[in-house]
Amino acid sequence: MNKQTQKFLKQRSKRAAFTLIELLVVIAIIGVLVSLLLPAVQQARESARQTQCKNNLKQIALALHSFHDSRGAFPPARLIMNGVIPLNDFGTVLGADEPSWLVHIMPFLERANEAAEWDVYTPFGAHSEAARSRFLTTYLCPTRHSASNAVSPDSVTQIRFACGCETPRQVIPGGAISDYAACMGDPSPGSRGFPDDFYWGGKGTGVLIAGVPKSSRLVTLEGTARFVDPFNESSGLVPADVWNDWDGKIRINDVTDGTSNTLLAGEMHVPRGKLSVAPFNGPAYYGRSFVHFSRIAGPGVPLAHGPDDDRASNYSFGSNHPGGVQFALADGSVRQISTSIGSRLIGRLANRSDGVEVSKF
Amino acid sequence: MRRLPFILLVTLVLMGCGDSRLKTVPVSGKVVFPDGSPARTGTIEFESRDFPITATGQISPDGSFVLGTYESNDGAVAGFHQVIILQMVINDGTINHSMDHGKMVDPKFATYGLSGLNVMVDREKENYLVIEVTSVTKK
Repeated sequence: MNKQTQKFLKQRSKRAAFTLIELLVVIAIIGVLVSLLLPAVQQARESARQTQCKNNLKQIALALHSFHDSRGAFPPARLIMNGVIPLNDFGTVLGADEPSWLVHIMPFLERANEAAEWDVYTPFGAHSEAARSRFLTTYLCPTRHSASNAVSPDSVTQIRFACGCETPRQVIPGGAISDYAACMGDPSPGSRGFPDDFYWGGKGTGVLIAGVPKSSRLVTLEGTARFVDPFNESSGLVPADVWNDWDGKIRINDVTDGTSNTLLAGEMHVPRGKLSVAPFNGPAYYGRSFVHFSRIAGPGVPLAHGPDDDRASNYSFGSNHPGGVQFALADGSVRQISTSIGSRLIGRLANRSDGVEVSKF
Repeated sequence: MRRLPFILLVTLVLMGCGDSRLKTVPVSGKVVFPDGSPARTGTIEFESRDFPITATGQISPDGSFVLGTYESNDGAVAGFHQVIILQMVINDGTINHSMDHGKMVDPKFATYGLSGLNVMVDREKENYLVIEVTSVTKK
């Protein structure tokens, strides 16, 4: 080693080191840059999830149209007998417990295997637990749910309403949940004159409304139908052929306001912290509890501004995506509607035949 | 690279400009029947005459409500409003509720145009509105 090399090495070793301050400054700068970048990355991820959510609604809209092509009408949101519903000792109901619309359209989502396990005219509780808790990713908004929380467990709840009214402790069976709800219409008073008339069979003003179960055979309820307890399989089975059809069918030509401005289904409001918790986000195939799979919109029931909006209720549409709620419309398109839309306008979109055409929303 | 701080500053300033919300003023009040007893449940909604926007509030068991337009309690825009009150008490007989709804508000108050309730939300002072409705018996 000659003298020059030694000198060079000495110099280099002196130059090659960073001081602590220099390192800290570099780390701080990198930290600032990353913290600027991170929200953008999160936004891109959320945007991707929102697109996937939109695609789910598109698939649902196409399945609803396939159902219509095949059966000549849109599926009922649920089945319910008008007036007094026959009730057995176990609290199980015939003509109210049958599976919801989400089961009706399963064959048209290319889910023939899952659909084969269901009979849409047999009470929810009479189906196997495997079928009841089999979730479809098409029914899950990826911002809210993944496979790990897509099933609501069996629960015993006592629901307390704002008025101080409460239900007795009731068992809500577990099952797969959904983030998408049928639009039953707006709360405009129907033939009974009350804003909750949409609840009854054939009375909703939307497209996917409750239907009244019926049979083309002559069946007397007392004579033929026996009831089933969802948690006691030995208590007898309801004959599968009691119902085989429903009244209150909605067809494309009943959508007189135009299919491009009538809502079919959309994202439902679930309060923060209540995901997969009944009755906020309970089993979506369980026809008895309409708030698990259907919603209304209109005066008095505006879109929720987000999961923290405490003006919203179990009847409201709402989304976890920023800016708006995504809806499938009756023409098969999917749109995001701003949460600040006036309630009268969203009601006109929810109602299939109020005679008011909405051009801009 | 010397422009970077400037570009960042402009971006941050522009990000703050997306707010197109209308100004709201706090509104609260009470829904009562002619005999002075409160409506115990339901939703109250104000529709502005000047803007296509609505403010909503839930009615508490003592009849009181607080309106919100963009947030839960931010009030309503100033000016004239049509008011509706919506009560939904669904009883299909499958669940034995303990009924504590009190009197039912006449369903005519649930529809704009039929309710006949018009109020003025003042821009300047505190808005506390007592809204009187009539009752009806639900079959």
